[in-house]
Amino acid sequence: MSILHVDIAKDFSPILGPRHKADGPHSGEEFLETVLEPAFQKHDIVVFALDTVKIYSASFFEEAFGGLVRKHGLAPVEKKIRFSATERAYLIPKIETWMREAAEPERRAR
Amino acid sequence: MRDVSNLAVSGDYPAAAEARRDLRDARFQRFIAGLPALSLPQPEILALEDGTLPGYTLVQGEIALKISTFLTSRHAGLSREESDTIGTAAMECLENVRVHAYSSRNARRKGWLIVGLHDQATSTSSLAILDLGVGVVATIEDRLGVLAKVFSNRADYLEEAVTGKVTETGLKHRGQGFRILRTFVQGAPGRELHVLSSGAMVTFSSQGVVKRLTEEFRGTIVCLQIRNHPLTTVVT
Repeated sequence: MSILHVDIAKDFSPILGPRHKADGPHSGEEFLETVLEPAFQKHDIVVFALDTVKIYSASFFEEAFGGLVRKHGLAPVEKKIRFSATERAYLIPKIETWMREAAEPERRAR
Repeated sequence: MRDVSNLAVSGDYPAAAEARRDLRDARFQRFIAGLPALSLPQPEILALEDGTLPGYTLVQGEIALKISTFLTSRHAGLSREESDTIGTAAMECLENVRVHAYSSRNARRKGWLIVGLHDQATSTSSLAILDLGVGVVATIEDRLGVLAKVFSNRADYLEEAVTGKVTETGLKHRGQGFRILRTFVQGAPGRELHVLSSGAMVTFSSQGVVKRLTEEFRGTIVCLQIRNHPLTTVVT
């Protein structure tokens, strides 16, 4: 089983950007395409570290992880994706909620 | 000694004078200060700074970080989650400004304005984000549809927009900036969120919601105020 650890701040950016690439750098869409999706395809488990990020937007995480769910469905994403955080332990259930909400039919019909 | 701190301004800003005039017309100073007893001249209470930063799409995260640092460094009692909430809300509000507030790319060149103010005397920090866009009500009006009939005035429209039931895109997971800020200010005393747009102002706090009609104002001002107990305030 292959496990990949991704420190979002170090491996992508400490300052996370907006939802879409057109809106600015380090967007959730860019993260989905360049980091999240490839990692999801290649590894059995992918663990994302959240504590070292300096600033983020809800839109970033919704677009990235919600976007992954919209593409692949909730079950396979939940099976592979993990989060690690100490200071930002509060954020994990929020991201998981956004992922579950992304699986709702009305949200997938974008 | 009063500490007046400015934050960065983003955008190509030939419209700075126009923005100042709109702020004055909206009597922004009165509610951002919220302290009529101080009786200080307005320039000492509200300081604006305009500048030019090419490529407004490049700076959203950096500006949000400045906003977050500005507020959290002066309010040591904020938890990590609350600090993150401020940053997150700032990001969402900036995204609203850039993506939603202006109807054309040319209009975006008017830029936007961010003002930070910290009053040590009352341990109150204020943060305002101004844009000269079409306004919140106009942004969501088409989306309101039959709902529009139940609103008797612009203040009701504005409250509806800020509470997030209707967004420009019609998608529930959009328009999170207002919702995040509203939850933040309603979660503890000493915090207020003012949204001034489309001829109305809505104020949220732990005490509830207050709304009223104002003079017509082209654009939107989102103002977050945090007032701390003096013991938890960092003296800078």
